[in-house]
Amino acid sequence: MKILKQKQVLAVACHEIKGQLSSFTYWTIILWPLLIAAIFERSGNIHLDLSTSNYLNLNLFWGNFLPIFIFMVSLSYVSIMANSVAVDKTSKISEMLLAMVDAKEQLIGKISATYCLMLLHMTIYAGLIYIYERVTHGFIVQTIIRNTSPVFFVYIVLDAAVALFMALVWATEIASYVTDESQVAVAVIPVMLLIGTGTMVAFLFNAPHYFDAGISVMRVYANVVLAFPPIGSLLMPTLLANQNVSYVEAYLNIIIQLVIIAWLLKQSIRQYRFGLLSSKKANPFLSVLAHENTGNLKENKR
Amino acid sequence: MIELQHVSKRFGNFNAVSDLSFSLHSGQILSLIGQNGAGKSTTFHMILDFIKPDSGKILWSGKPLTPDAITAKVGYMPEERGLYPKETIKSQLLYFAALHGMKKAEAIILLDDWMKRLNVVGKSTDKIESLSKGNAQKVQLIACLMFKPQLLILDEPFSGLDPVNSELLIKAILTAKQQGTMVIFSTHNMDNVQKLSDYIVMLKHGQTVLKGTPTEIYRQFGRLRLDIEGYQNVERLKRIQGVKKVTLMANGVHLELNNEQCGKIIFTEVTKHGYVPVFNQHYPDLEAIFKYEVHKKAYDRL
Repeated sequence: MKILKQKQVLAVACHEIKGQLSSFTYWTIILWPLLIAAIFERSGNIHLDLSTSNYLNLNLFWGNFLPIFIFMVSLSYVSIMANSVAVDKTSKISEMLLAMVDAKEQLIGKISATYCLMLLHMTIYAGLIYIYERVTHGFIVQTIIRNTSPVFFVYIVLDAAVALFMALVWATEIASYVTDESQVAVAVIPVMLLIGTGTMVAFLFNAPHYFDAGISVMRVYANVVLAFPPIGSLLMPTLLANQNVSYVEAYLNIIIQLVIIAWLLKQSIRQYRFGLLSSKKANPFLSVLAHENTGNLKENKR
Repeated sequence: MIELQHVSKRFGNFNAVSDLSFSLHSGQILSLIGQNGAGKSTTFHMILDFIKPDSGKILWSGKPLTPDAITAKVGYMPEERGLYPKETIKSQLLYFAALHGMKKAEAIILLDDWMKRLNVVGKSTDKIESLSKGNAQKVQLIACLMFKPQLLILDEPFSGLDPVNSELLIKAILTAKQQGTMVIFSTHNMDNVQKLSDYIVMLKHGQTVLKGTPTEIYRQFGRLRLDIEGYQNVERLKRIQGVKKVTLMANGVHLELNNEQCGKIIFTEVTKHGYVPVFNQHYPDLEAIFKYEVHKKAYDRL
């Protein structure tokens, strides 16, 4: 039975990957940042001469880059995930699927597929950057990677994975209540609002003039707040880059977040199963918005 | 063998299913009939572990039916028809086969075989969205049958099918029965219930109002219908005690009786005047029984 479950996870993941690789959305996600980068490159606006880089510069770079990276990756893949769940719901296939494969295997399969797609995405970028640097004899990325501590690098990879995991789990849970594909945005908005807020706060933390002293005073409080995923994943890299927290605290934070995520995942699977079966139930988030709108209309009529 | 023992389910104040019990052996077909909202789909959902019963047990060969066993042994076609519209028949069915742990080569052979057997119009490379409703329904049925389930649950399988496709579906169900599959299906088409069922359960507002083999159910009502050909003296028949209603037909009369015994008196009466080619005293058909059970308070006994 365990083997069957593994096969089911693999089947769901393969189905998702196959579907995304033949979709316009996935390739758009990969292409549009490249287009923007190309515009910057053509207009000569990239002046990242890190030949004289020092530790502080590099920290500031990671402090700014990571929150944006997590935000962009989450936005892209949360949309893909929400869309995939919405297709299951609106194709009215979810009831039949649930009889074949449990919600847990479906969720794990979809999340695994999303990580594979992201890995492919990053591999394509790495390949393109490598080719670009070979052609232009540049060394920006090489310099950044060479000067970044391996321990820090491992941490940011883990951290990005944890942040994305949390975003995907929440988006899936909300998307399982979608009854119409036009509601996909409603499944993405709450998660992205949270991630976006975290990103903004991370930017503020990356301005040491304002927050350096404050974070030292609130250290214990901050560590408690940061344990809650994905806030920790968004803020910790910045704090770590600015040496406001230690590696022990950072790695401990990831472990605590993973424990919390494991618990949340259990709840999410239950909600996901319930959401997939409740075709007659409206999306709770959309209901709130609808209620607001109706309220406004009533006000206007008066 | 699957066995439901005193299964009940309430949704708030609504009694969805109340004290439902039945058992089904290998190679038997059970029809679950009742009006919309009678509790048929809820029963299916409880067997499939989509929802838990409030009380009672669902057993498989004497042991509680586990989610793993459901995935491996039960094929389910829900009332809400759904497939991925953008996918081809082949990719769709191969995905479902993979979810059941089947090998691709084996699934391709079965897929072609079932497509021929159910007379699915078109090629396996056709997209689902290009199929007619009936053909899409057949594809769904193939998805349920191709992994050779031990229990097949079909929720309203005949809805939307023309008589030719209904016949094909009946053949497919009977083939599954011959191979030892247990089949539980719900329908509003009493002709199909009569053709297929080894066992009938009728629900009304969640309560079991009829239960048993077709013969047992007919016997509960008695031979209260009489068709006579070659005799049309309505007035004389109306005067016989026990005759409830006489309807003049093109080549004879149709009678509704209050008791079986008056059949003998009627036989003596009509044969007194010469040869009667047809004298058929029979049970009411299932449709009449169904209508009677639904409107029990409004109508007299059959």
